[in-house]
Amino acid sequence: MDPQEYQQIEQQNTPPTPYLKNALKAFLVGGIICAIGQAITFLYIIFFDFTDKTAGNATVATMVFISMVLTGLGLYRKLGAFAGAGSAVPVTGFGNAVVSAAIEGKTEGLVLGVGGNMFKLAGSVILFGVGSAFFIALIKLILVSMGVVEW
Amino acid sequence: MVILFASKPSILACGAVAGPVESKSVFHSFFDAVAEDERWGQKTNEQGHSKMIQEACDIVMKKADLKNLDVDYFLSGDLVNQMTPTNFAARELAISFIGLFSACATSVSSVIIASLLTELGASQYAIAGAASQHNAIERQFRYPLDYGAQKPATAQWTVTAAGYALIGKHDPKLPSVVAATVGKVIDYGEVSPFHMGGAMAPAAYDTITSHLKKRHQKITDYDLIMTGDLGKIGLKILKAMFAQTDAEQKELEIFRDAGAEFYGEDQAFQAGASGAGCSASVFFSYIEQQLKTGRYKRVLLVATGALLSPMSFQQGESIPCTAHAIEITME
Amino acid sequence: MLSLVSLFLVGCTNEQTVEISDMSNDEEERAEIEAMIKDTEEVQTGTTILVEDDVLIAIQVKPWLGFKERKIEAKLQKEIEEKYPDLNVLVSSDYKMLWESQKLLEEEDEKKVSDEVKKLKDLAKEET
Repeated sequence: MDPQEYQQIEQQNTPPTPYLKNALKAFLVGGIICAIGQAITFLYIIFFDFTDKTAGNATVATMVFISMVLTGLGLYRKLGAFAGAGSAVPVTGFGNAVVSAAIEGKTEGLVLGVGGNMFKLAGSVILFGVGSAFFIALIKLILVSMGVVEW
Repeated sequence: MVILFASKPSILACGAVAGPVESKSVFHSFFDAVAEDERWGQKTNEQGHSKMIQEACDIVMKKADLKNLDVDYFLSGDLVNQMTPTNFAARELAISFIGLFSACATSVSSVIIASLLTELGASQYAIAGAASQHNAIERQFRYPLDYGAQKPATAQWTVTAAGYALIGKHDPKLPSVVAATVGKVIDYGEVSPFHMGGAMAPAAYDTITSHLKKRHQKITDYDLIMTGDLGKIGLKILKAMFAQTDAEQKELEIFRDAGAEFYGEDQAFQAGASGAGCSASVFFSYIEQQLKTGRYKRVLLVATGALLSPMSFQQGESIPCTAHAIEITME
Repeated sequence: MLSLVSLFLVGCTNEQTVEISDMSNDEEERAEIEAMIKDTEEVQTGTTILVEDDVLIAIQVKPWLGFKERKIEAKLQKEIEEKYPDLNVLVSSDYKMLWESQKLLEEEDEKKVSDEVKKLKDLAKEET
């Protein structure tokens, strides 16, 4: 049997990826997570002395803490299996990536195991996040000096 | 080239051990032991993996009333880097050790070598089989256990199980190995490690057709042709491949797959079970018993393996696969 | 379903709500500032606290104009500062300011209001 023929048989017998359903699930779960984050922000603004600007850090810290607890309890994994990108994209997903890798690295000790493995999945996020922020700022700087936009 | 065993080495005893998640398996009543702790009381998953292998081998030797000294060879492999769980188990068992890697096809490749040694007269008793431990292997091949990754419907669950068989001189009252086919490496370009069934089906097809041809046999000469871990979708693909070459419906019903049936209809395991321990634990418990009770007289056990590494996948390579087959009869 | 629709439509109201505290003595000042805020079309809600020389104006811009929030803030602030150079003006689109100044509207004690306004102005300068 040649590969072409096989590809056809394989495709016919493989269930198609339910893109629409997955997108919907991701949209709903991601939205709910962000709504919870916004609620936490309002909580900080109303009950504590945080402003819009300063509540950002506190909110992110709280969300990451929540995702850390859920990861440790093995619950975030179940959420991820359902939501896919909806739970992986928000900052809680970043927290989950770091914490799950850290938990797994425990058996090789703190330095090489936990420390060395912790950013296995999240490292790219940090690298490309910081990198692209730098380039965007650079582009804006150039545009501002040319007088095209203002700060 | 098919290997014919004139002396028909027999499977003298079998031992199968599984982890807590596998208590959900439809085959769990056939296993000799199902542990409550997936680490077997050890500190790391890899050590637990090793302990599980030892326990399965101890059960085999106990059933055959043998001590470690009496056994000539221990043939095994697993999916962890450098097969360390098997290596450490071999250290504890203190039996001459032949380590071999055929990924999830190791259960059968080890029996083939053991049978050859027995046929040659170089071995009186050889323990052959394979094992896998879910946590250790997921860590190696995929994501950290607690990571919230979404797996597609074609993904399979690596079992925590070990299956070993004691191969020795022919005994007419026991299942015997009469022939074997060593598989080639087949790669039809599947790149996704979440679609192992699709990657391995061509290898199974190639080995089965080669065995049947060289033995001048038909599918209906067998009561059962069972593959190791193609999973629900891989089995469908395999049957479709045979249907393409004009196999009839009644012939297709002779095909079964250990991975597809392992967890029954439980959707949490998607397309079914996989792992070196999947075929090993099912072949060397359930199938052995079906042969002994006379339900099956002639079976072809085809263990399938995907010969990839986490790095080969990241480097954009496709997944080369192989399948090894042993023909077992019961008189 | 209907509640969802009405939820979406809430953002479509175009009425302005401008409230101003009556702590200060200068009526003219009050009215003038109120007028300036009302004039600024982009402002949806404006809450002003006038006490002694401090003016705190907390605004909420109309929906979808959030991206220009800071510019609208700065524009209004400049306007008021030019008109009344001896007043300490702070225009803020921060939600915290709005929330707190809503509470201050009711407050009678001038000392308390003055302290609170000073505290809020400091808070607005914080970066983290």
